[in-house]
Amino acid sequence: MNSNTLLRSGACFGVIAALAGMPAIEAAAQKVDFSGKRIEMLVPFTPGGGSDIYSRALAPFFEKYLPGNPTILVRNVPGGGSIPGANQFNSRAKPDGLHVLVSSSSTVMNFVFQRSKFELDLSKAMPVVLSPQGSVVYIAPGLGVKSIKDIAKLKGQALTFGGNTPTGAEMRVTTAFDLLGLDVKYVWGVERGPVRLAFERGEFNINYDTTPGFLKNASQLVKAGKAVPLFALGVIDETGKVVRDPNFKNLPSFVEAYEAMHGKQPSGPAFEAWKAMLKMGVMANKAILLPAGTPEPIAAAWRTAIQKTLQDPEFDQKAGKVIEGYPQFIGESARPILRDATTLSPEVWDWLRDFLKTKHNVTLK
Amino acid sequence: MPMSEFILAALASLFSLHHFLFLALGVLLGMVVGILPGLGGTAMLSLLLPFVFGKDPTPVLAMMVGLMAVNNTADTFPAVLMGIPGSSSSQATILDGFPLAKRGEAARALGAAFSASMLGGLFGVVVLTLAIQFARPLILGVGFGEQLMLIALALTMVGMLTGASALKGLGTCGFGLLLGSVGAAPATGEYRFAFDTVYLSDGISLVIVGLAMFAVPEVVDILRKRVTISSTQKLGSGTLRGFAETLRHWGLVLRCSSIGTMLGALPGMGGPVVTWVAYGHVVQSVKDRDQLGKGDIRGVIGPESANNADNGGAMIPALMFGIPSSSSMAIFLGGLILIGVEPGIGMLERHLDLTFVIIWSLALANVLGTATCLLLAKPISRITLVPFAMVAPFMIAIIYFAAYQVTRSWYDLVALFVLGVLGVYMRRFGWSPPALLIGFVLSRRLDAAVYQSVQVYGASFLERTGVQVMLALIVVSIILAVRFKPSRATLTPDGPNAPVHRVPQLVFLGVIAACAAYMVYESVELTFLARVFPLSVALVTLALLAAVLVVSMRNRPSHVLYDGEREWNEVERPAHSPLHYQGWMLGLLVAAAVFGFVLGVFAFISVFLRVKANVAWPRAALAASGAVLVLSAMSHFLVLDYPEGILQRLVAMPWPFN
Repeated sequence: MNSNTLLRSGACFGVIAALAGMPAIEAAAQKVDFSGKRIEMLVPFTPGGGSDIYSRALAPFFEKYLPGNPTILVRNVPGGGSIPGANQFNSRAKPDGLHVLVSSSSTVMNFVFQRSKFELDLSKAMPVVLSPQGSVVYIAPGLGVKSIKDIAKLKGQALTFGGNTPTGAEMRVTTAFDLLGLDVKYVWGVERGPVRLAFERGEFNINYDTTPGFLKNASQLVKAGKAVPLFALGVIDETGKVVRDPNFKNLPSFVEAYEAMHGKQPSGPAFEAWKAMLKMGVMANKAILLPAGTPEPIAAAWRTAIQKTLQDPEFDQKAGKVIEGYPQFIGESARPILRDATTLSPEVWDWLRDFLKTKHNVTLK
Repeated sequence: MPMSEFILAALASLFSLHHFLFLALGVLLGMVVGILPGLGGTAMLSLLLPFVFGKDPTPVLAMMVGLMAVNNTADTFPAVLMGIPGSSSSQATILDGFPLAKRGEAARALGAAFSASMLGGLFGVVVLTLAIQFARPLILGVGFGEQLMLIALALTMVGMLTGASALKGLGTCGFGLLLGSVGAAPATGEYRFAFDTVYLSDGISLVIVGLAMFAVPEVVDILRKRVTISSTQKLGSGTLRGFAETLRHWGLVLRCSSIGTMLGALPGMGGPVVTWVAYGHVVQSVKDRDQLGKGDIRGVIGPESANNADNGGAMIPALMFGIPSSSSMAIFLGGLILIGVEPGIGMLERHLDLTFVIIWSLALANVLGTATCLLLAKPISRITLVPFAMVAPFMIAIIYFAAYQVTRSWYDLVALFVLGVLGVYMRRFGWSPPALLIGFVLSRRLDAAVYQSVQVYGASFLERTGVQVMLALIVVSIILAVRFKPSRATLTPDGPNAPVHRVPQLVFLGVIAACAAYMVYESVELTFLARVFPLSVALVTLALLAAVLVVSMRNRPSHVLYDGEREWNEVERPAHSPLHYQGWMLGLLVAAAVFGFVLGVFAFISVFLRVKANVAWPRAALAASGAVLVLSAMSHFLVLDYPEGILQRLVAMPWPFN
């Protein structure tokens, strides 16, 4: 067999494995045995945060489905926008399947915007699973807009939006507001919970929440007539198109909102920049990563474990909330999303630099 | 079903054996981890979280409540007995609690502290029960303008805590505000004074500042001057007396509990702010305050009733708005969400029964926790009678351990050491640590609230009624502060306040001023919104420091001049300087850098016990192994790791030394 046929048969095997799905992966995974081992899930955030809850909800199922039923330890290394945690993972984690990193959209955003402080190359890490999480934009009823149909009425109205930092997770909506041509006054330095409170007090009149936050709290405001959902950002499908959020089939996506506002499809670097934010903030909201260079059988064991977890009715019933029914990207299928989210074209960079400078007076290094 | 029936039903389910046992177990676990500074309940709570997925989540929730309720109770032990703030909400307790322990009245201080905790906690729960139906509009009435005024009101408390010299106290507060402005600017997210490091981008941790301002100077001071923490070999009349005193000061308990519940209910105010405001209120409101700060039982009762009442208050934003006030609360809310209970709007309508189970579990856990603490108070107080050289190395290890829990990085240890040096000299030269803490705690909140109020309302926020009411309170508080005469020592021509040998204190003044001046210089690079707060504070601080310099240069004794080293003549002077013991503290840092934390602690404790306490080598090593055992157990059960040293880089070490 020359190298060419080897390559071809390798590719062939890949296709078959992909087609056959689990059985082939399982076969490879059988050689791996974690019995008696302690596996460390490094969460670069404080206990009790979204990524921490996500990890601790998944941990018992990894214990159940990883070969040899290892003990999973969740270790928090908080602070620094998850940079210290990611760097610690980079220096300590060996590619032996006993170390995984839990990343969130802020890890991805800091990787892009503060690249020089990152020792870990996020785009090279091996994804186990990528869990998207949607976002919904809503407004105060006093603005007189009932639905996306009369979104044009928002133009020229004084809007006030509260968020944490101009370069943080909120960029997925601030760029959207900019594309819609809204006149928004920004108030920074407010955490998500207090922002919702200030919205209810009427100090802010446009806001967003992630899917769990919206379902939990903002939806109650909607019921009480204190908030009007405008649009959900949407998700990216297999073909790369932005489609409606599966959790909010009745709400238009941002692209539809744009069309309703401007009467045409969004395009150009501004739209590409927003899509990059969508990938960082929505598509790559949570991910579990193995170190680069982890041998295939070990990676396969992890993929099998997450697949079995997602099919487990017990998971669905007890911890399904942490993924809110979004399609999960397992193994290599997550890589293109992570890669796209972390590699921005020069045009997108220029647009973002200009946006932050002119709208928020922030200079990107 | 009427409300009262819900409350009764909740009480009934509370006392079902099952629920009660798990609650008690939670309290017990909470006490064990709560006694160790820095850990808090967070590590333990997050370990419980996966069990919520089990067959019956209710006992796990009961356990979680039990754990949370004693968070602010058990940490009083290290605060009173050793002067170590177990968490940031026990810092104010040290001011009077530790001096009491030093007088041999540790049991009395603990008795008062725990009974005040219990009453405060119960008060918070009662308020919560009565107010829960009306709390929502009240909280929604507090907008950005009102928040700003509350923060300003809290800041005026510094007027009561300046120490002997008001000028120096205000300067210290300014310096605290500056330290607090390190990190991302609220308005722009720009990193201020972070020297391009990731570590400082989050700002300096309150836990580390608290340890450095209180615990480190105390350890150094006692090592130099005393044989044991307590100056007498008796424990005094003890726990029951403390209990009785709390009951006698019921008015104070009531007022401080109200402060605790109210501030705790406001998102963004709770925890450390609560206790400092309560302490400030004690100083404002009591008569004959000569003993405050030197071991007045009321200085213990006030903050302790407030910090436990805060627990009840904090439940309001947590349950009704889904906004956690601490990371422990965040984990608890996470647990609720995982079992399908959505805290937030409509929680009362959907889960009124569960809400009351939680509230009353909190009350019951509170009583259980404080009762256990009261029983333990006297035996544990004996530690103040043990020769201090035997206790000190463990305390130093605990202080470093607590600091390391902040971000689990080496920088935490370095930050503690550097700020510890600052703390020791502040003490020597009479700069008030509480003033620095108040500035530090409020800095970010003040910066953010000023900007946010102006951004949302312009100047019109001053027209809001709530703002005007609080403005009046601020004026009253300032008048009280101006009229306040701190008790101070009489000036003598050759005492600590004498205008001789001024060089050391002038050098210290120069260092502080240089830091402030550097911040002025650095601010130039920042955008207007990021710069305006630290720049204004730095300029005011520099003006205050200049005034301190002018007064210091006059040739007569004054309260602005102070050097603790001049309290003794040559004969009385302790054998070692503070530098000597700071050298020892640095020693642990170096040992940890070489051998890693666990082996470093072993080496440090053994050598310290041998050299300073004259313990024979085998016994010293045995004692040090005990510390290693505790560290290992915690590493195993709580999934902690410890700082690595050069050794771990070179060779793979077995657990727990890796």
